[in-house]
Amino acid sequence: MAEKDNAWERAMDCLPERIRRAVLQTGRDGRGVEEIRLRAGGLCTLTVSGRNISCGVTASADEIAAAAEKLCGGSLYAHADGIREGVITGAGGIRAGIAGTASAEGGGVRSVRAMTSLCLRLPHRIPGAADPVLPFVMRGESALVWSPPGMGKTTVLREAAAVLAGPDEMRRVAVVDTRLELGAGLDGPLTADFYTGWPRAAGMEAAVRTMSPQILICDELYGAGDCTAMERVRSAGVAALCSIHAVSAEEAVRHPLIRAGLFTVLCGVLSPRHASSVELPEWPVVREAVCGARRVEVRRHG
Amino acid sequence: MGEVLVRCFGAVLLLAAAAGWGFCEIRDGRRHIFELEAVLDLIRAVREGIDRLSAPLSEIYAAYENPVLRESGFLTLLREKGMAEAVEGTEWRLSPEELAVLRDLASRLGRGFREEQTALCRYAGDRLEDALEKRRTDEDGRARLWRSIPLLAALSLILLLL
Repeated sequence: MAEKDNAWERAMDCLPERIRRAVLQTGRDGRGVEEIRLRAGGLCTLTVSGRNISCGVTASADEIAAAAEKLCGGSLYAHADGIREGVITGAGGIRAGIAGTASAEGGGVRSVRAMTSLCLRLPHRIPGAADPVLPFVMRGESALVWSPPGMGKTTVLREAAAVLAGPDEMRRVAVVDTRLELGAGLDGPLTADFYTGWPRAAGMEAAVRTMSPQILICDELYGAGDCTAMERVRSAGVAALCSIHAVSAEEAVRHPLIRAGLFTVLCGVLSPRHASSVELPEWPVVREAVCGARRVEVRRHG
Repeated sequence: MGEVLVRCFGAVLLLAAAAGWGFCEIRDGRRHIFELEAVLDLIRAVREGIDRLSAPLSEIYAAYENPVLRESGFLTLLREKGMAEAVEGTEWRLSPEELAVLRDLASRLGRGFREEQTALCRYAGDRLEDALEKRRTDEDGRARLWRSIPLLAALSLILLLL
C-alpha cells in the first residue's frame, strides 16, 4: 500500500491545481484507483476497478501540457522516444498514455505537437500475483503472460522479479525495463540486473551476452525484432518470463512466439467476468488462482 | 615645509582615490564579462547534455559546476528550482538585453524535443556570444580610459603644486 500511496502522491503532484482539487473531491485517496484520465475539452475521469468515475471538470490543453511537462521532470526531450510511441513514463513508474496531434514522417510519428489526452496509470504491487506461474519458471521453463491491456501483466512480472531475485531464491535475473515500469517499487537487496530504458531486443541481447542470467524478464513483446532476440535468449538456455497483449487464450496460442515454440507455459491474467476457460487440447489448464481482483489461469503445452 | 608635506599627502590621497575608482570600474567591467562567459558555458553544457545524452535537465544541472555562478547563488537555485526561477532569483551584472535572452531560453527549456531544444540553446548562445564580443571590445577601451585617469590626475596635481 505504501507503494500505491507514493504513486498516488506523485500523480497528484503532476496534476494542475484545479484538476487535483477536483480529483480529491471525488473522495478517492488512491485506493482502488487504477487510472487518472485528463482530456482537453473532455471530462476528466478516474478508473476504479474498471469503472469510470467522473471528476466533474474538463481539462484545457495548457493544463495537459503542464501535467505532461511535470511528468517528464521538466525535460520533454528526454522522453521523446516514449512520446513517439504514445507513452511517458514518469518517476516512480507512473506510466501515462498520451494522445494528440502527431507530426508524422515516413509512416512513423516524429513528435506529438499538441497533447489532448493524458492517462496516468498508477503502478501497484500485489504480493502473490506471480505465484501461479513461478514454479514453472523456477524449473527452467519459459512462460508468457497474456491479457488485454490494463489487466496487470506488468504487475505479475514485477512480483515475479521481486521473488526470483529476492533473498529466498537469489536467481540471476535480468530485467529489460524498456518503459521504466518493471523496476517501480522494487527495492531491497535483489539479485537482479536492470536494463532501464533499453529497447527490448537490444536489452535482451546485451543481457544474454554479458550478464549470464538464469531468468530474463521483459514486458510487452511484439514485432519480429523481439521474436528474433527471444530466439537468441532461449538458445542460450535462459528461461524467459515475458508478456504480450491478447484478449483470449485462443489468440495467445496463435502468437508467433508460441508458434516458434519459445514458450511452454501461458499465464492469462483475467477479470472475474472473463469467460471461463476454453478448452485447448494442446494447452490444458494446469493451475488457476484468484489474486486480488484478477483470475490467473496457467496453461502448459503438452 | 609643513605645507608642502600636507600638499603632497593630499595629492597622494587624491591619486589613490582616482586609482581606486579606476580599479573598481575595471573590476566591475571584468565581472560582467566573467558572468557572461559563465552563462555561455552553462548554455553549452545544457546543449551538449541534451544533444549527446538526452539527459534530463535536473541531471545536467546536478553535474554542472562553475565558480562564478556558484558565487552568485545561481547554481544552488538552478538545482533546486530550475532555470526560470534561478534567473529571476539572482542579482546579475548582465545588461537588460542579455538578461532577456537568458529569460527567453529559461522559459522554453525542457518544453520541446531534442532538435528544437539544441537549436534554442544555439540561438541563445549566439546572441550572448555577440554581446560578449562587443563587451570585450568596449571593456578594452574602458580599461585604457580608467588606467589613464589616475595618470592624468597625477599630472594635473603636479602642475598645481608647481
